[in-house]
Amino acid sequence: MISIQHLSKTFYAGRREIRAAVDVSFDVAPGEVYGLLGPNGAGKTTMMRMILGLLKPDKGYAEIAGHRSDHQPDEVKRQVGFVSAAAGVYQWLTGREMLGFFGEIYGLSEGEVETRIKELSAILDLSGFIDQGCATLSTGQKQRLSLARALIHDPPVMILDEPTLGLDVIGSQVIFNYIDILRERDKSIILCTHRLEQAQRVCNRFGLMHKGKKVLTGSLEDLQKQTGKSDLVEMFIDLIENDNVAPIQQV
Amino acid sequence: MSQNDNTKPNGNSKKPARTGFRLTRLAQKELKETLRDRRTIVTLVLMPLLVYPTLSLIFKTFLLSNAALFSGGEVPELRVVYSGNVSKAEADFVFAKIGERVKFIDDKSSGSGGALLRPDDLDEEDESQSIGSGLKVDDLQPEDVGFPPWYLMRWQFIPPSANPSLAEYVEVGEADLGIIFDLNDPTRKRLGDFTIVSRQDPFSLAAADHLAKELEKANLADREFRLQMAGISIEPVVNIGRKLIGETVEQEAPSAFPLASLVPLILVLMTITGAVYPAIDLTAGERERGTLETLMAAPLPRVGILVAKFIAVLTVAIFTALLNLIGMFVTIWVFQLDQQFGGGIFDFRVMVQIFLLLILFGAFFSALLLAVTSFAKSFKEAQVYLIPIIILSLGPGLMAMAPGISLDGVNAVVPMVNILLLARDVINNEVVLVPSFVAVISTLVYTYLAICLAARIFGSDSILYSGDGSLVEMFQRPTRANVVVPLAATLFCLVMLFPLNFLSIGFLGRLPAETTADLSFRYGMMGVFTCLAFMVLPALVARHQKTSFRGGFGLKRPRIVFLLAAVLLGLSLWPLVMTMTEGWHAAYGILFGSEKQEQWHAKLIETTSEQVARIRMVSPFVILFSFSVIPAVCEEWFFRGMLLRSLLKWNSVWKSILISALVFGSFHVLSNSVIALDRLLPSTLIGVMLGYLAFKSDSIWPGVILHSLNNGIVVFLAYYQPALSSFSWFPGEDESIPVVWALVGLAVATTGVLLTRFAGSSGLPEKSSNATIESGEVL
Repeated sequence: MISIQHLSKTFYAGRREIRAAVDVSFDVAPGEVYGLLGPNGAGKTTMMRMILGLLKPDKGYAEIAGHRSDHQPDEVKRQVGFVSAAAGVYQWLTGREMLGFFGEIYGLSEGEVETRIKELSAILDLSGFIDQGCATLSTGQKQRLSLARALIHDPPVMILDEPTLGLDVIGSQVIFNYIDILRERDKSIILCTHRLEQAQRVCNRFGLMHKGKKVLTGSLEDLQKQTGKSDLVEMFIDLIENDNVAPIQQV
Repeated sequence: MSQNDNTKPNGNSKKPARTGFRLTRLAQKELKETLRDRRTIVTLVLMPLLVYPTLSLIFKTFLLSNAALFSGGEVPELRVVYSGNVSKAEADFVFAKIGERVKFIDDKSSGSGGALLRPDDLDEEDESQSIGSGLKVDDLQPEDVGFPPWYLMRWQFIPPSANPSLAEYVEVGEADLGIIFDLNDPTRKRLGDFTIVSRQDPFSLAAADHLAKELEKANLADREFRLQMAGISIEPVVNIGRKLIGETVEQEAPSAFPLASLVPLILVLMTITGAVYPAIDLTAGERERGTLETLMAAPLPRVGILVAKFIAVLTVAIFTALLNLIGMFVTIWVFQLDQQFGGGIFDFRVMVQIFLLLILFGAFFSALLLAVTSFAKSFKEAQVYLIPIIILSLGPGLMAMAPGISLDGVNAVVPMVNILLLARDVINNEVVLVPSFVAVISTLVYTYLAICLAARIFGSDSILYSGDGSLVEMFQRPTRANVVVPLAATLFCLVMLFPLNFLSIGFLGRLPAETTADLSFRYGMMGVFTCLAFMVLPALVARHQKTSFRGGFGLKRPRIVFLLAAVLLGLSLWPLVMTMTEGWHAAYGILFGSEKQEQWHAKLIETTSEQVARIRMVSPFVILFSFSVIPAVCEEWFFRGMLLRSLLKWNSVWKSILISALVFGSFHVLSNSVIALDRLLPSTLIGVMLGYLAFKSDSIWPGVILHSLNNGIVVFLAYYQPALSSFSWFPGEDESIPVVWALVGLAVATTGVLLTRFAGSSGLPEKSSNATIESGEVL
């Protein structure tokens, strides 16, 4: 469903050269949740933006449902639901208006939009605030609305970049539970998160990134074998503290 | 889980809705969002409610003080003498009619049923008396006084044969105006002719203007008048002639305030005000709030999203324009300011036309605003960019208010100025078809270009994700050497060159230009400035950017074949350029009328011949260096060296050549202190030739040869023109180039181009793929 081939991207900020992605490849099958993990600045967000076609890769490409994001960005975007930590809401619209607007943008009919809103508000518990202006919503409500927005067209692929940022335990639980549901429905999901315990539970496979490189990959078992650590948190700390990967040249 | 799992729409099978429909929805949403924002409503509704009454109070004060200039605060008395075949009753009727239409002074307070114009109390036998005696001055209550110009008018009959004559009364100042009635039409279908006799001093002229205007109004509107005088007629009742006597007196005070120019300016500024907030909010604001990325992740073309935003901004701008228009007209009506417009402003057609012009202007400015705000990453940054733009746009706005400026030539294509002048002409009912058409078309073209620019900038990944420090980073020194100067640094150089250019023109203009020594010094300084601006500045920037001169400016030795091509082109381009200039002159005549063309041509010849006369005073060696060699070397150094090579790094070959040529052309338009649009096309074309030659040869030296030959020939043809004219084959000063010359030039130039074309490329660095964030995405 998702196929990432040798994606590379370098940024230049004045005199600095930042390698955000160095030859990263992986695949995600339907019904699979791929955890793209790593410390801040590892290049996860850049990866997601390139997969979606928002950012042009220097090298490599991403293919989603047979469409390359550099050649057919609109086709790719149609297949993907995208939630990012930075995703805002339109403060002067109500939740329902915003969902309706995105439903229409993704080509849903009015009836379809109505059905989807009903479903999503049941699962994500939106009904209490869906007719309120978005400016008045709490962080958790906004994030749930954001997730509903990304799911409005029921895409086969989900890209979730820190969907639980700023949420309390209950709020995150709602989101992770829903990710489970999505997996059951055979969606292909790429998940970026710092909530490692939940990631450990919900993801089938992992890719650990550090300084733009994918340094560890595989199922939890594979990772445990490779690192000798039992859980993701330890692997992470090890990764950052020892910097035990070949350091990427910072020019 | 839930049973409707299987019935849900699936992403794969969905049919994409029509893009057009989705964009309409998008525009609707943008509009809904903007209009729900109370801050939009403030600028939209509250501003016109507050601004116009305030402005009208300012006008009132201003106009009162303006009128006070005539009389030191007193109501000016206007002494009119009249003559001709008219009875006192008829004259009284005419004057009273004028007064009726003026109504500047309250009827009751003046006490004699008249308006400001009051019939004098003299009987028929008093007619021959000199004016100024026996006239009764009514007391005027200051609070009864309306808007100026108003007059307390008195009139006195002077028989046609009297001595002193009517004209003499006016000339010596015994009277301010004379009116000669000619009612000699036997059919009496029309009243006849009036001749207004006035002195050429401000008071008399202004009074004559005022009277003529009032007579015209009476003439047009007063049916009763015609019925009484001559029965129904479709002919104009009066013809009004003017006769000036005496010496011209310098006008000290403005006789009339250019309200007709001010109205469009205010409306345009208010329209801008309405569009600014939504433009920022829907671009930079959206990025700041984090909704832009979500929108970019939707399957919509970027251009489409921008167009939807453009429609939303434009709609708000149109609302603003409409509300402001209404606010302004209501204010004008309530405050009785319409007298200042000759009443024409209340014509429905005028209002509709002004509204249409505001829509056109709103479209242009909305697109411009979006281009600027799309570049910004936050609300604050957008405001920082917009403030100078709005202040800069006041420049053309004020320029359009200057008296005597008309919608033609360059003015018809200068954005904002053209719309303001056209709106002024609409109010004054003086619209001329062709320049108006040019103004509208050019504004549409600018709108399109601004939308294209905005679409390139809006949501591009460099804007979406780059940090906030990009402006600072532009000035940072790179750690590695560059092959060519980075585009950002080149653009910085280019931006600096414009003010430097103006400064040096201004400085040179202040140098004395009397003697040969003066002029030699002046031309020497000109060379120094050219060197500093086009050579030293770029060289410093290149050093700062760690770029070698050889690579950054293309200093390598070219192949001989390119030098040959350069010589051929350098020798042959000038007759083509001159023919082209003549063609432009002819086109100018067709576009703006032969009268304008002649005026303009005469002015051009005047400035040119002045320049040529100065050049001839100086030694040919000075001329050779300051007009041919130095400009050639320095301009090639910058335009074909730095600029073209920077552009080529990130753009296609022809785009780079065209952009550098257009910049080159614009510099030549601005280099004369007069904006000389006729130089744009030829200079740009030569710029294309030079660019092509520099690209193919990978060196600026062939261009230097072409450039200095071309400049040298043109300047020395003018220099030795008197000597050359003695040859019979040489065209005279005002003659055009023989066709044969142009044809020979074309043949030689073509040979030069073909030589360049087939010489094989020397491999200048072409567009490379590893563009950086700060690269030329925008250009």
